[in-house]
Amino acid sequence: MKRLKKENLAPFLEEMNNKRTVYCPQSVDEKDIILAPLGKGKITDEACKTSISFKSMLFPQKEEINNFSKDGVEKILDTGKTAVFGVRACDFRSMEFVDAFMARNEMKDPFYFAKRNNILVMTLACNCPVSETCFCTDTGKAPFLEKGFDLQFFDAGSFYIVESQSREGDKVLESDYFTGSDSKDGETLSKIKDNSMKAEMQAPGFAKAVEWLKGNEPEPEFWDDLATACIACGGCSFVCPTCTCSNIFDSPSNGGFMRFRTWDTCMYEGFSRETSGHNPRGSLGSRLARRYLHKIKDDPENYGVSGCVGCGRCSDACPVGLGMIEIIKQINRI
Amino acid sequence: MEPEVQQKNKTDLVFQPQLARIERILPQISGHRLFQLKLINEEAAEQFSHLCGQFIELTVIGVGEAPISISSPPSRPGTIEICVRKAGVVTSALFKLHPGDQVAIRGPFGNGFPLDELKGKDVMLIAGGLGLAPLRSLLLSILDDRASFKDLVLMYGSRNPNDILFKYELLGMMNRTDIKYFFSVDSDDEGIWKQYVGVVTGLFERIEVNPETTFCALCGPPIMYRFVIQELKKKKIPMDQIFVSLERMMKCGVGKCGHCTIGKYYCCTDGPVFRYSDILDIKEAV
Ligand SMILES: Cc1cc2nc3c(=O)[nH]c(=O)nc-3n(C[C@H](O)[C@H](O)[C@H](O)COP(=O)(O)OP(=O)(O)OC[C@H]3O[C@@H](n4cnc5c(N)ncnc54)[C@H](O)[C@@H]3O)c2cc1C
Ligand code: SF4
Ligand code: SF4
Ligand code: FES
Repeated sequence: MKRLKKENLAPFLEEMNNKRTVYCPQSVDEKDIILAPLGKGKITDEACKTSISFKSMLFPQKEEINNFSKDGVEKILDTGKTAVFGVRACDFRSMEFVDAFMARNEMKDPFYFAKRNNILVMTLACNCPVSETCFCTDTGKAPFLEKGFDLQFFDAGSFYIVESQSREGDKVLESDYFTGSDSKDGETLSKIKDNSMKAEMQAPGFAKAVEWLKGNEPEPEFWDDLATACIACGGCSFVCPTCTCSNIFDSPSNGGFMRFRTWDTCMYEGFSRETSGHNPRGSLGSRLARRYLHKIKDDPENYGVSGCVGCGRCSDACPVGLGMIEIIKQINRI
Repeated sequence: MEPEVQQKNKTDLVFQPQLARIERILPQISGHRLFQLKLINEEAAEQFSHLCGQFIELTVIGVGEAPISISSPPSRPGTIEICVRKAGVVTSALFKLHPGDQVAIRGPFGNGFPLDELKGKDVMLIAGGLGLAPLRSLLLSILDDRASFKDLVLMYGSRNPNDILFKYELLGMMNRTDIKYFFSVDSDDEGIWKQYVGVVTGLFERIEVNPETTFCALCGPPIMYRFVIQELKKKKIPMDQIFVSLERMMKCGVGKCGHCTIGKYYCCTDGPVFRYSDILDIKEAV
């Protein structure tokens, strides 16, 4: 366990930036907080929810995947070293979920793991909910991590208490910006953790809904009803840290062709439409069911972990008041 | 977390298109052609092996990619045969290519039919239209190892007598006594058809099956599945002895892009062949 003074956060990240491209939440124009490479704005030193999670570092909105040239076809692997600071526990869990997904069936996604194997993740625990739509505790998890991380920072006022759980993390803590911990830090840490668990959060009734879904499923009419509000904008998927649906397309480039992969969403009508016109999910209700149900029903069955980490971004983004919190509340009313 | 070592082989091929040459193009019925492909890299060509019912992701270079079933059987390696319908952007571009031109392929992907499980059993193949493409691979596999299987039945429904795929190949097998054929056409405007006119389900009146030993493989247009399965139920064939090959919109073919999901399954990796008893309860499946 070590300490880092908050005033040393920026210089520490700058120092790291010499070795890796460092991303962290920054406020731009005193208004939006975005996750960006250092230098975009003012570093946010408290836990906060960036509108897009750091999934965009590992699974970008648009990426080049294959280069078709005269010499053949090449895979494009981005192995640049990166680091990210300020990742909350829920977003870290979303990465663990995506890790499992991207490695399914012994077929590891090469583009994802090229980046994943070269990222250093520094998480920052939440002392209290950072927005009204946070509900991680309702999913049965804590606003901090127990295991699996390299470095976890806790906000202790004017300084951070920092835990390492890996060799990579230990190496980072060798930087002169970190100082030894106080004998009381262990106690402070327990207090922070206790308080964060007691903090009041949204409680849509996640566990109850998940339990009910094990043997039941809402009728199609349930979804058709909700779909009368949905405008199929796809926002809920794009902002979701565990959503990984993608499109693939080819485009001319440098005398050859480039294959791109981009984010896609199962909320769009054309997502599952075949050339014949047959569409197994032609109705918006069936797509809404897919988007929300697989996270909390199929994913736990397939991967043993929930596909929803309770970040609340879909609830923030939805322009018509749907999103996971509302969906869970509605399921619990059946 | 410790960095992971990149896994070789399977992972390396996931998103790695390999160049292939079009060796021959054999016209089929109108709008359909059979393409014979050969991987250009000799080592890759030698290593390429597939199961019947698997598919490839075919790239027409500069245009895009589409999933296409492998029509040739694993028992005849070397050349990859695909039967393609001109349907949209990629397939139309493919129809503009000539023998000698290059394409790229990824795969083979998907699970395929459980050939070993069918051994020693009566096998019934039921195809509608282009659904014969993957089933031809299974049909030829069985014929190439005929002694390992018991009775073999092929039921094949087409729109009209001019729409029968692999017509000459099928005609060439007509005098074999170790396979029973039943053909249907939906309509016969020219009045040239001597066999059954009507939908493929009408053929079931003509056959006797032993439900205990009969295994079915089926592939066709979406509408066909429910009706055929009803007939199979009437024949008392257990639901876990029916295999359906399903089509879905696919982009990656390797379980990443999400386009092909059927309930909790991914059609590209868990399918395209499903044991019907596994998907019974999934409303959107068939
Ligand atoms: C497992 C499987 C096996 C298939 N086997 C054959 C076969 O043997 N012969 C054959 O002719 N056709 C087959 N199809 C259908 C074939 O994939 C589509 O007709 C083809 O993708 C149409 O591509 P397009 O660019 O010409 O059409 P467009 O409508 O212009 O483009 C649609 C694009 O969507 C994507 N796409 C992926 N899957 C589908 C799909 N199922 N339907 C529509 N678009 C899709 C492709 O990238 C395609 O380029 C198969 C489909 C699947 C899923
Ligand atoms: S479904 Fe909504 S709340 Fe759950 S992880 Fe995705 S964006 Fe966050
Ligand atoms: S964000 Fe809301 S309106 Fe948009 S697709 Fe999702 S549920 Fe529908
Ligand atoms: S085709 Fe991409 S997940 Fe199945």
